[in-house]
Amino acid sequence: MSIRITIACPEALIADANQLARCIGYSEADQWTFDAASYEDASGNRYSVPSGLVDPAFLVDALSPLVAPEWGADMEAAARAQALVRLADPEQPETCLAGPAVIVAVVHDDPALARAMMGVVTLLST
Amino acid sequence: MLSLGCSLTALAARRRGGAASPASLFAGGQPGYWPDGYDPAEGRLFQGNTTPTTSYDQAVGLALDVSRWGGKALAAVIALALELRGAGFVQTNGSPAQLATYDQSTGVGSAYRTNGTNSSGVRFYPLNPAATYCFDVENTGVVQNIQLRDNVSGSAFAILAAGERRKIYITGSASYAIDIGANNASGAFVLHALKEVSGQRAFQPTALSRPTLARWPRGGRRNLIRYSEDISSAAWPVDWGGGRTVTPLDEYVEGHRLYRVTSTAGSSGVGQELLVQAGVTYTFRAWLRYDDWVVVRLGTGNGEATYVQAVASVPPGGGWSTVTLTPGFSGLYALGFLSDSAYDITAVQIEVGTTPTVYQRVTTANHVTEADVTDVWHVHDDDDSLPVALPAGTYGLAYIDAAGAITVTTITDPADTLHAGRQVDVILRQGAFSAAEEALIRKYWSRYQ
Repeated sequence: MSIRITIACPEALIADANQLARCIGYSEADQWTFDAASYEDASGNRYSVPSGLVDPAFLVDALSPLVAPEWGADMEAAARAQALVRLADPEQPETCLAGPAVIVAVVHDDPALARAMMGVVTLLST
Repeated sequence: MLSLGCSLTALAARRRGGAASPASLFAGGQPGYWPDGYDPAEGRLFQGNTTPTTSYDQAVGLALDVSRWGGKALAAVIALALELRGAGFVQTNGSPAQLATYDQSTGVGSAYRTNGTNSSGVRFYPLNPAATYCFDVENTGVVQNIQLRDNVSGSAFAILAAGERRKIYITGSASYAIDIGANNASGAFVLHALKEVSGQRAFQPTALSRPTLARWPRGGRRNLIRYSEDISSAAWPVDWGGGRTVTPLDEYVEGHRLYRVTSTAGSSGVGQELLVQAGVTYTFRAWLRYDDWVVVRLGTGNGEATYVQAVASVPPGGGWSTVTLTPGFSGLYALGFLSDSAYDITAVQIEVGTTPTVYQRVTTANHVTEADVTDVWHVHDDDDSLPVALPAGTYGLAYIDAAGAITVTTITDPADTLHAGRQVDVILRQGAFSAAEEALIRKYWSRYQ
């Protein structure tokens, strides 16, 4: 049983967040989790907002003391990113809002609604 | 009877590789990629690089390519492929108490592990990381699990219990190994076959960049609600500030289970979030039963700010109720059914337009069903990609989306196989499609329209 997680990572934190993803992900390839900052909030801050299916243990791992993966990772960068992770509560809308100094993770089965809760819109043509 | 059998055979041939199949587009050996749809029952989809995708709301990390299969099914393709068992050899890390064994002719082998740094298994190397392989392996040991890893000290991809035999499809590495995971233990296995699956494959190694498998009715989704018959689920969180309880009843209306919503403080009811656009008219339809009143409201959850609402259209006593609302605002708002007493509700549908259409049951955004309408499997591309490695050049590109819309065009140096937000099938073939080829594709895909 997987859960869907949608994560808003501010543009300035993408490099650190990718080291965190490399650390708590499933393979070395998860270092590419956060790519183009193609979403924007009402203040013009830009974000990379991937969404996907993960094991429920992912949430626990994301907030637990980090363990270096066998394929290696920049643990200092991963720790910096982890310190800025906030697991949002969809019942409390204010916790879902994206911000330039926080990496917000929303668990919701519809990524479009999760991004709306984050207050971000795509910069790409749809 | 004979005639019927021949007809079925001819039908199957056309389905798999006859003149009516896009398989003929690749008859000249042109490079390309064609998944032939995303029905998980075909066994060609995988969540990562080895776990099969079997249902909706599962990731698709690997989608095989049938363009080189000549209309054959996966099992036939595997049966005809070259045997690669001979690529295996014993590899040892550190100083384990026992060494592995392996017979390249019979596939009979054993492995031993003292601990994580002292182990011996059977490694298959060098293989092509861009190819997909099928390991048909059986754990012939009594107790110990057998693992398939990227090498004898790497991470495990798949684990077989004692006595289990399985075909494991895997991609993404130049090296795989069969060994065991427990310390101070030995294991025995038979590798019945190691085959390369012919053709390209679309593979996404990054977990959050994988599309999701979905199933919608032919023609697409109209009902915008989620969990349309599971009113007590967490998908209906809005209580409009008053407070209410929701209880499933042992009563069904036209096959739909009723839920009793009871207001516990002031005006309250069930609701959920909906993305709306200003000026667009939405039609709400549900089966309702109540004694006092029920209104349908679209707006902010606590009712203190922007909203539009209408009174339910059926009189007390119950029936199908339809109302239309046109908000003057856009964004994420809540819709709900409010009352200050109690009401029963089921089969909620919200759609764009002024006239209700046939009800679609929605569980999640990736699972929608409609009575008497064929299901269509597809992949949901949510800013995802499913890359393919094709030679550079100009390619014909054709794809069909979940609403049945077909696009045929050309593309240069294709790198991704996802081209529609909800993609039912795609064909990439080196060289633009001729008019006759396009007609063939459109005819083949008419099954999805």
